[in-house]
Amino acid sequence: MFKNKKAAIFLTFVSIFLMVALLYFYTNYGTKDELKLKNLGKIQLETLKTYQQAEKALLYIDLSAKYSANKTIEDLKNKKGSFKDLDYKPLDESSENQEQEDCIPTKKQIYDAFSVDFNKYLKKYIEKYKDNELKQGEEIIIPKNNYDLLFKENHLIGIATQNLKINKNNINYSIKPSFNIDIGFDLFEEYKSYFKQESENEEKTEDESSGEVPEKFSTEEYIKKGGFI
Amino acid sequence: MKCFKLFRKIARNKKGLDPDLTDSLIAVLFSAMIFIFAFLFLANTNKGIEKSAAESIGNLEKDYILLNYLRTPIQGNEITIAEYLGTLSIEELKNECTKNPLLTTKTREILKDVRDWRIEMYTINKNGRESFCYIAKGAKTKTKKTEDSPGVLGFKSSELFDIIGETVKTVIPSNNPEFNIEIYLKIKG
Repeated sequence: MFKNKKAAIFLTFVSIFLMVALLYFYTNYGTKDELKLKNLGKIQLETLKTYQQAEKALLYIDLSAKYSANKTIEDLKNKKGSFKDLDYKPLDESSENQEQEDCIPTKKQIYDAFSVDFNKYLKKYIEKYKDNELKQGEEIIIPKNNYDLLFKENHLIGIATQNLKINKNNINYSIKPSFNIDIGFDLFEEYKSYFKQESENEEKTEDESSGEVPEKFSTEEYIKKGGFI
Repeated sequence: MKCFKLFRKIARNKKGLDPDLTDSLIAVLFSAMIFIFAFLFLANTNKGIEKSAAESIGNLEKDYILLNYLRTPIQGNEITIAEYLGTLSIEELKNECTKNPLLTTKTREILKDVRDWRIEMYTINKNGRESFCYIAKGAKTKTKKTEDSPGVLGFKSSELFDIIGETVKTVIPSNNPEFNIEIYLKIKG
């Protein structure tokens, strides 16, 4: 073959062409952004990661709602915040009747006061939420003053009016951040218990004068009581 | 036209074809070599893709583990670990891992099936971040003790998380709105 010059020239050209083509293939394969190996399935994984980021935000909202509800009930018991302006009078069992709607305060007034304070506390918590895993140009939007509240068997249900949004380059994820949390009390029962507590406090002040020290709640007691003092 | 004539000339030229088909054999061997190299290269890239995908999926699993850990009840069915941490003050949190075995025991119990892992917790407020708890399992969890450690237990946080896998983290609120709690989880494999 090598003695045959024509064949040798032909094969040499073919060989050089193949070498150049192979070198070009090896050096360029995977260098373009859309063909990079690491980018394969990147969008799908980024979508799953976005779900996780939303889950983390929802966990934060659930916990914040629970703490906000506790703080609001403390306001009720201490006549603070929106409860300051309420005329504290025992709620009549039959106050749901139309005839009793004029009695002060109505259930609606208590509910409104609770909603205002609850949203105020929840807003403070939400403002502090930061997701450090978001890259530049990406954002998480958690709407504030976003909940219609509902009490049901010691549960507080918050129905979100606007969606939580996570905006990324190729992904716009949106989810309703509603919550259903066990708060361990019913708002109106708590309001009623306020008056019992008042009478107990009066008794305690009498006891204090006889030398008894009032109990202080610890974390262990908090756990024993199901998370609520 | 010129090319066509040239190919016809080469084809008719019997000198170009060796009697023992050496040209053809070399061409076949050459093609086989190209095929083998290309095959090996593509097989190698496939492995790279699989490795990259497995790593990313592993990180997603870590997020699930961290969220499940925080949602696990700590005592009976009363409150979850996230709530438990949220009820404690900064002082109580600082003593949580060193003096109270409840959190450490429960964490080890929850993550018993995971080979090597590390959890580190921080409080974040307007003054910055401070580590208050470090729980770990596994042979590679021994780390240098440093004097300039910003956190508790004499561990430098930046060293802890340079050792195994990618870290996942989340923020939970505290009952005291003055600070939040940041939780980092690192798992090997």
